[in-house]
Amino acid sequence: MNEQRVLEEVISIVKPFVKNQEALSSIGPETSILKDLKVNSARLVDIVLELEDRFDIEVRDEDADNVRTIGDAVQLILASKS
Amino acid sequence: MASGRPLVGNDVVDLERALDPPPHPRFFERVCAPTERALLCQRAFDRRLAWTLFAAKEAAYKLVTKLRGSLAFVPAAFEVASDLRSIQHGGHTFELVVVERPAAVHAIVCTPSAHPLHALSWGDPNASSADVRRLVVAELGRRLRVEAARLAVVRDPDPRRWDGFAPPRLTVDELPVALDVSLSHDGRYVAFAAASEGGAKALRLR
Repeated sequence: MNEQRVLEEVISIVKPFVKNQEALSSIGPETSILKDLKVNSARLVDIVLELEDRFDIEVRDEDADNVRTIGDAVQLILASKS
Repeated sequence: MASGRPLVGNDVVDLERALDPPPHPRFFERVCAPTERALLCQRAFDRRLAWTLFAAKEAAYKLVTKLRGSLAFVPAAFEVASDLRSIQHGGHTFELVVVERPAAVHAIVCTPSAHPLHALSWGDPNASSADVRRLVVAELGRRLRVEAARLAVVRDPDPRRWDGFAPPRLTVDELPVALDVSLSHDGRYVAFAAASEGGAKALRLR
């Protein structure tokens, strides 16, 4: 799975939890999940669990805590799959 | 890790917002310690209890980061006592107060004997941090007998934090107040907790 495909999947996973719908129009690797999209910490747990299911990976809590942006999530997945 | 000064953390969960969309099926398995999972099993998965546990963890995390600075949020590392009156993390025990409303839970965690003041309010379905700040200055202005316009909640830059800012602090006329505050909002609910030397009485409760 290439980086662009992973990016699209991550965005589709994050979308249902976004409170700031306006930020979706410019969503990309640099977008902060918590600050820009206003996803709260509980929803971030949901997102990590969904990433685990969708990509068949395991994400340690400490690694999940380092996911700040959409791009961080993409890189975490690519690293887990390599 | 001891600080000496009273510290608080708080978190509010809008129980209706928490179901839209519903949490992942493994959510509580992931965030709860084994004793908490056992407690949830005993109570046939009480949804309110489950979110109370999570709110307590979030509140305790806010407090612990004030003591330790940057810290990864590992919810299962925070363990709520079965009587919901305390929470442990890293060998330290903090006091827990839980306030319940029909569609919300508010968890307040503090250092021992801090006797925090706390408030919970609701209104706008999409409450913001600005709404919480308004609640804080209105409520603490009344308690401290200071015009609300003279009070402000400020956050200093701190690159170690996830959002680049240190925890909030209260000022009067731009001067710091010896009072620890914690803010929270979720869905239509806004909440805060505050603690000072001498407990709530020092806030000149009316």
